[in-house]
Amino acid sequence: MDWKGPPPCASGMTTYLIKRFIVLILTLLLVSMVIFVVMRIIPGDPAEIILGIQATPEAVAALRAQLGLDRPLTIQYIGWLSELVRGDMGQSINYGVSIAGLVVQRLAVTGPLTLMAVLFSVVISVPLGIYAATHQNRPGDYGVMLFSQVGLAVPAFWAGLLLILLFAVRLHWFASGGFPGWSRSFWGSMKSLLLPAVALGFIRAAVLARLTRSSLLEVLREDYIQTARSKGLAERVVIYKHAFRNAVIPVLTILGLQIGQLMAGAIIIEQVFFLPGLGRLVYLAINQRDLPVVQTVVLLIASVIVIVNFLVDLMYAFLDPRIRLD
Amino acid sequence: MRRFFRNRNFLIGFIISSIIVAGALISLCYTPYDPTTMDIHHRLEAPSHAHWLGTDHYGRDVLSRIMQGAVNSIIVGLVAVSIGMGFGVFLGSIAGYDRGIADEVIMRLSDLLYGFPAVLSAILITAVFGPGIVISMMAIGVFYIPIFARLTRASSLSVWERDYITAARAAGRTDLSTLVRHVLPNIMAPLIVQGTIQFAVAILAEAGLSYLGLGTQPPQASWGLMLQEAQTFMGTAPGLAIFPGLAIALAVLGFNLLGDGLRDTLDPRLIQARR
Repeated sequence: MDWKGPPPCASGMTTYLIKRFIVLILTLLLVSMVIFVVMRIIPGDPAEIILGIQATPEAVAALRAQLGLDRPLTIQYIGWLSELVRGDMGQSINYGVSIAGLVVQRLAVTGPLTLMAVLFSVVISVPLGIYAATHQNRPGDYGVMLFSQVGLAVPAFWAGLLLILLFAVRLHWFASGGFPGWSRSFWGSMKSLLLPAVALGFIRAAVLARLTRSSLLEVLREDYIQTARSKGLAERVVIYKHAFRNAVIPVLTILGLQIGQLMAGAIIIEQVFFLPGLGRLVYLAINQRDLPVVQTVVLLIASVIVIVNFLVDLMYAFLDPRIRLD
Repeated sequence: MRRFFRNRNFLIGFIISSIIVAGALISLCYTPYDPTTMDIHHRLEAPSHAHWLGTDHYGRDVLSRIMQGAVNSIIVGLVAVSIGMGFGVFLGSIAGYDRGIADEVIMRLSDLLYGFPAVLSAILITAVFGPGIVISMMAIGVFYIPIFARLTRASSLSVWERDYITAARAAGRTDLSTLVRHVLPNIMAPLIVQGTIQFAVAILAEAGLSYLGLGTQPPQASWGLMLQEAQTFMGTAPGLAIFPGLAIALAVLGFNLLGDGLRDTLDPRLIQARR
């Protein structure tokens, strides 16, 4: 134990980090290329859409030149990417304002919504998963597994509609949609995000409850748990101090991966509750052919997912040396 | 077959999905009313003897539309899984056999597609090619390709190492013949299980796209579209927002349970692991 050098796996971890980082950059570049190309295939000339059917060909040509749409695709792509790297997201065609401003404004809805959904899913799923694992093959366990199966089968947008039906239409406790804005009413805004967050978090809770259960069951079969029990430790200490701390690693991994999926899933939920979030922004921008907004927001969401996946991979490799040595 | 039906998940899943499939098949030759014919004198009616699940805002029979929606969902599931499985197994087989540059390229492309948010991409694809059931089936199917490619590659890697493969090669079989006759039949079980689960996911995805107005187009019935139309009338006709959603949840639950049951039965090691 006198050895003071770097841990035996340090070089393995560095190599792994470099490899993963290169893959991350390549993936982000590929994602940006795919999005850019897809945006250029979408039928409908943005200049014609902005000016309407009455526009003269000269006016359309002038606007195309102003928007940079007359330049070769590669030049447009490089220009877009270099502006993005400098932090300039460009202007929205429809709103006539900076996309960065729009994104920040909409992120103030989608960000808290995603966080609230994650929080809801963790608060529900982890205790349920622990309960099911510690009461295996008993009615409580079957109840949790049933909840998990039902949660996986219910589409988030239907869960949203049912919540509106119960809490807005019947009980009048909540509004059926809309968002007052943080500056106008903090509690009103929190309240308007609550039902969508529950609808969005419900499915994740079902997945996480099942995962917590199976992960904890696996750990509870390990020898060191038997040793802890044979030492006479209280069952609560065995479960929370020894078993759960190890069982939580895969749960955290999946939770990390779900954050990105939740952001994407917010598109439909924001439609259900008429929330002015990123998802609704991109959905409306697709219909309005506001290409700069679509490509920037889609790239942003995809980048968040790719980066979160990268961080989760790193965390997992850090916690489980077998991954980086593979 | 008896061992399948001894599995509780399989049995329940089989019953539920059989009811859904039977409803869809019956709707091809019989529905209580024409699912697209409007009857404004009987709009937004509550469930009754004449209309078991009520009528919508155009007076169309909800039960008939749910039955027609089942056909849509099943077709979407079948086509999407076929696209994903067809291309995925083909690419995964090449990757599993090659293990060189082709493997690396296929797997990296698969990673790229896998990491992309499917909902967002499906919306983009339908935005590019226009909304409709055909495009939504393809959009969903494309995102199944990496799932089946990864599964095929991972499963076939170990099969290629087996003694009977060496024996087949020693007997003079070509690699293609070995792949078709020995490797693929031995990885069918996980592919079928995954196919059943992805079938359920396709039903959910189609409902989501139709809810956004990007999937099935009116006047055709789709469960997601029915829910979108129901949102305006939730105060007066809550059943419109309940029954189609219930149909989606039941169909997904049925096929998920069927997939779970198949997995438990085809891979007994999993039962041990779960315990």
